This record gives sequence, structure tokens and C-alpha cells, in this order.
Amino acid sequence: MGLRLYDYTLSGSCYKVRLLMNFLGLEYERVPVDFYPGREHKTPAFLEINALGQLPVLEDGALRLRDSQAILCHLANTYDPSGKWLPRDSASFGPVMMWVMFAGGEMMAASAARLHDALGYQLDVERARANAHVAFRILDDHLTERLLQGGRWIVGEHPTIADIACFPYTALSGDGGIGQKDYPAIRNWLRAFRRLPRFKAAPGIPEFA
Amino acid sequence: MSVTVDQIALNQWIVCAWMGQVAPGARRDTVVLGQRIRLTCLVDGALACHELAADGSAGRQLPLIQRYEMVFTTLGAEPRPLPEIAEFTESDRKIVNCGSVGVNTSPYRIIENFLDMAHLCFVHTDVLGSLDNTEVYSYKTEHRTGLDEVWATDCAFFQPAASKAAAVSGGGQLTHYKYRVMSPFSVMLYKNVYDEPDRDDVICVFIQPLGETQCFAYMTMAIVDANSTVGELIDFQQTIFLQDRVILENQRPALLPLATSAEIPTRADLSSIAFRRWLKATGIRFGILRAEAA
Amino acid sequence: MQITHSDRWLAVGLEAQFEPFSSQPAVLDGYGVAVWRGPTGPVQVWEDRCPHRGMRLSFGFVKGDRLSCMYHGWSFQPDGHCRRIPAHPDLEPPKTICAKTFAVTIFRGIVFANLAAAPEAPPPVPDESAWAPVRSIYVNRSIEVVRARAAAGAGFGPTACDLGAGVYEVATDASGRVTLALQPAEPGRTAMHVTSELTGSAGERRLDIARLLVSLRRDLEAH
Repeated sequence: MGLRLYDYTLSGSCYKVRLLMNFLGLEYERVPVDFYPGREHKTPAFLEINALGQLPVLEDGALRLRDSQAILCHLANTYDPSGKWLPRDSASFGPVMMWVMFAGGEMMAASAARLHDALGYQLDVERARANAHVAFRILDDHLTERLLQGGRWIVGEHPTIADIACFPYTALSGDGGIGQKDYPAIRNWLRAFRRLPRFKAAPGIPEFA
Repeated sequence: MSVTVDQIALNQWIVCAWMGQVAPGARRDTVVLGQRIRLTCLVDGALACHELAADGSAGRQLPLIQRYEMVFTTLGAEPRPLPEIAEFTESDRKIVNCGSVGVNTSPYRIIENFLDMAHLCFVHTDVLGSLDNTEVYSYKTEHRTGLDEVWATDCAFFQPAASKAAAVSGGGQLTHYKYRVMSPFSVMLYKNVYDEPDRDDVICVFIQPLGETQCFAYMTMAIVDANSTVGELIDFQQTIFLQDRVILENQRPALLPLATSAEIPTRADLSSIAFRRWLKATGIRFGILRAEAA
Repeated sequence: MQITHSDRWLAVGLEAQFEPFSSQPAVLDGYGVAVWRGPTGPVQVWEDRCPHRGMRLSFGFVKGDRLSCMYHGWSFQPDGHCRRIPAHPDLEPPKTICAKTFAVTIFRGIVFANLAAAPEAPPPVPDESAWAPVRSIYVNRSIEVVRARAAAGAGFGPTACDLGAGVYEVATDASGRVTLALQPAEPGRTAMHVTSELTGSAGERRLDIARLLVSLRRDLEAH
């Protein structure tokens, strides 16, 4: 099969891919990249692999993909016979993609706050936190509506890559000084996600004993 | 943030960067005990350090020592000497700088967490401890008056994957630890090497307090492991520390309470009890909960 | 670290939102609490602090009817007493090791707590109706601002009935009432916990009510 993932344990984006790999039961070669303090992802050798100098990168045979959202789509599209992680019906496909892109867009403010607080990145952290709260409020309002409609996942009756994409930086929001006391629907969704079979922990996100 | 006036805190060598963090021609502005400082690396690689005034102008020059992969400075006139750690000079070891992690708590919460064994099965489940073996056996603590350091010895704990080498080999082991508090802002442990019981790996934490409840924790290690890469060793250690960070940032209060009624220790907390007694005796007030600082 | 809390009932959240086997954070007038429940049984509201090393109990895990602290696994039974200290598995923890617990009552599907040491204020009294959870909503405005809007009907009806304990009841145009329980969280931040009377097409109405609350929040925060 030949799946190879360029990975860093503490990266939430890499964790998205590791989660789906696990849910799908996929074997892969993990190539650790010394993101911090080594900044290996910005070295000429790594820039050959991804000119944007970012993680994760997935190699699947001749295919090489960057951007965790794109990687999630590829893996779900290619390796999920059930079709559940990326549903194709017209009522679900658009909404799933919308939330997947939200995860790679507005939600990344939470990642920025975490990089600032935990790894010393210089950036406007107050602005990042404020933007993260805007994004979390939107997700919490959405999950609240879903609950009133009898559903507990972002789209539809079972988890999709929309849930996987949104999970890591939401679960790690505390690392960036973003609390979840105002987001009851998010808290319950995080707990449901962590209870999924084949869920794996990451540093800062414990598994249930 | 105002600069501390606490003389005990000021008279310490405090880490402010890791070696190589500031590239030639670059500079790094940071804060130590409320004081803004600037580290400048000249083109020939020499490092210089100055206090920075509020208007950004450079003030007095500060001394620097580079050791154990770290860069230390001091704001005081008579700093406590840096500790001697012989393991860093042994040529067959991997010397590993894990970088620094920001933690919003007092430096003493970080030190106590490092000394603590009872959390290993809960916070580092299936790596440094297992839920089937939670008991912390009796150990000893002492105040070594010559060095004025607190030590905990005869510590033993069952670990499923005590180190990167152990994890790869898949064997659980009873790990033997010694802990050593070298100053109010630094702590280290000795743990027996996976397949060489007569030697110890050393893992050190040097803390840069920016303010009373804001720190950078730098980890540096001297490890006996011919097989793992430095990157893999860093990965293992960063994983452990990011798990601890969730605890550290969610203890209330962040300032350390020294009154014995505030928090309830058990026998497993002997090292923390010894550490708090020692801290109290130094008279340090920086990072200590106010009402009990006296 | 002794604080004296006033003797009054404060809304904490919707009962339905505190799921079995969970521990969650809430802030009542600046004071952090952990809200947890076991498999069955009542919602518990405790000080969000383990007596061992001050770790927040809202990060804890629930097994059976015990809440365990995430740090060292100290496990506490519903009356607050510590039952097990994993570092010393054979030790019977002394009775003095206790989490700080508070009085709790449920009113119209909303959890209320009284933080006073010996509460005497009467709790809100349930009526005969069945109430369905709508949502909790957190507004970045002071309780005075939110209260003024709630007292004026909050957009659900022309006026509201003040039931005390921060609770306002609004008779909507369609049949059925809406209950708004206001919670002072922190200065400049207020929560509203909302349930609706279960009559007729309650499900559809709840979604509409939830959406009205989002508009209300937007309006309150815009001014």
C-alpha cells in the first residue's frame, strides 16, 4: 500500500490524519519531523517535500499531498468502503466540506494561540484568542441546533471527517488559554468523540480509562 | 509587569535561551523576573545580554554562562552557583535540547510536578505508569546542606515504557529514580538506563520565570541510547511534558501555598513536603501565595 | 482561602447538558465549580479544586458514582469524602480529606446551586408542567443588561414574570411558556439557561426559540 506520513506528535493537524488512519485501520510509515526546536520543516530538504514548509504531508504511492484537510478527503475517498467518513449524498457532502474547510480556516486561530503560549511563537495572541472564540461560538451554536434536531455529530447521524477535522484544535483549545466554559455543546461533542472505537489520545487529550 | 525585588530570586542563574537559539546577527527579547532583556548574537557567534528599559533602550550588561545546552543570565550580584552535572561530559551520551515550553503557573508547581511519582499512571498512562500499578513505595528525602539542595532517593516505580529505548523494546520495568532540586528554579532526575542498571539517564528542567505565574520550562538531557535519534528522544520528552502542562495550567492557585493547611499531602508527597520546607527556609516570596509568604 | 458566599440560588446549566459520567466546569459569579454526575443520580456541584494539590476537578473522570481527580486519581464519593488514594491503595483515607460540596436543586430542567455554607434561602419551587431543554447561551454583557431584557420578555412575549433566583417566565404567543434562568458568570459575562414547556409541537418550537436566543445575543452584544 505504501502510505507514508511526515508527522510531528504535538501537531494538531498531523493528529487529524493519525486519527483517521486509526479509524480506518490503515498501516502507514511514520516519518517524524523535528518541528520544534529543530525547525526541520523549514529546511531545504523538507521544502523539497512541501514547498510551504508545513506538516503533515502524506505520500500514497506516486501521490504526495499537503494540507491535513486534503489528506483527510483523500483517505476517506480512497480507503473507506463504508463511505461514512465522507458521505457523497447531496444533503451531506457540501456541509461536510464546509466544516472541513472551517477547520482549516477560522478554527486555526486556536492553533495560533497554542503555538504562542506553548512554543513561544511571536504573534498577536489576544487577537488569535478572540478569533478562536468567534469560531468556537459558531461551532457550539451549530452543535446546539444539531442536538435539538436529535443529532450529535457535525453533519448527519454518524461522525464524518468534519468531526475529525474540527476535533484536535478544539480539544486542545486550553493549551492556548481558550477555555470551554461557555460551550456546553462542544464539551459534550468532544466527550462523544473521545468515546469512539479506535480513538487514540494525543498529548493534552487523554483517552478514557 | 514590574521587576521583582526579591533578592533570593534575583540571585540565581536563570535560563533565558538554549544554545544556538539566537542565530548570528539575530537577537531575542524576553523577560526574566519581570525584567525585559535582550540577547544579541554577533556575527562571530558571541552572545551578549542587556537589560532593556521601557523605552527599548539598552541598559546594563548582564553576565552569561552557557552550559548544559542552555544560556543562563543573572540579575543579581551574588548568584548561587550553577549545579555540577557530570553526566553532560560523558562522551557516549546523546545530549538533547528539547527546547522550551511556555507554562502559565509558578515555577514551583513545575518543580513539584517533576518530583511527583503518584501522577505517572494517570497523566502518562501506559508510558511512565500503568493503572494496574499505582502504588508509590516509600522513599527518602534529604536536605544536602553542603550544596543546599533537596534530594529524593530510593524512589522506584513500575513503568510500561520508561524511556524511548524501553518503549521500542516493549519491556516494562521497575525504574529507579533519584530527584534533585538544584535551586528554586531548577530540578533534575536520574533514572536508571534501560539496559544498563549501573548508569543513569539525566533529565533536567531549567525554568525561566517571566513573572510569578508565567514561565518557560527548558528541558535538557544526557541520555545513554545508541539506537534512538535525537529527534525521537525529543518527541518522547515533549509528549510527556505536554501531558503535564494541562495539569500545571489548571492547578488553583497558581502561586504556591506554603501553609500546611492549604493542601493535603500524603506519604507519596515526601519530596514536595521537603521542597516546600526548603523554599520556606530560603525566605523567597516570588511565586508564593501572599498570605502565607511570611 | 476562605470565601463567604451569599445565601442564594444560582442557575448553573441545563440538567440535560450534564451527561452521565461527565465532569464539567462552570463559573458562578466569579467562582469556579465542577459539575458532575455518575451513571444515574443527581447532578453534583463542587468547588473546582481537589484538596490534594489544587487540580481542577472539572478535568476529572467519573467511574461508577465516584469523581476522580485527573492528577493523582484521588477518587471522591457523592458526599465529597475521598474514598481512595491510588498511591496508597491499602490506605483508608481520613475523613478530613473532602471535596467542598454545595446544595443543588433542579427547577424546570435547570440546575441551581447555593454556594453558602448553610443555605437557608428557599429554592425555586417546581410546578406540575414538563419542561424541555432549549439551550444555554452565554452573553458578553453584564447581568444588569441581560436582566433588563429578560424582564421585558426577551422577544418571546410582551412581558415576563420574575420568579426570583434570576428566573424569568415568559408566556409566548403560541401555547406554552419559556423559562429563562439568568446566571452571573463573571463581570461582563452572563449565561441564560432556557427551557420551554412541553406542549404540542415542542420540538419545532425549541429550534425557533434557540434561534431567537442567538439573535438576542447578537443584539445585546451589538449595543
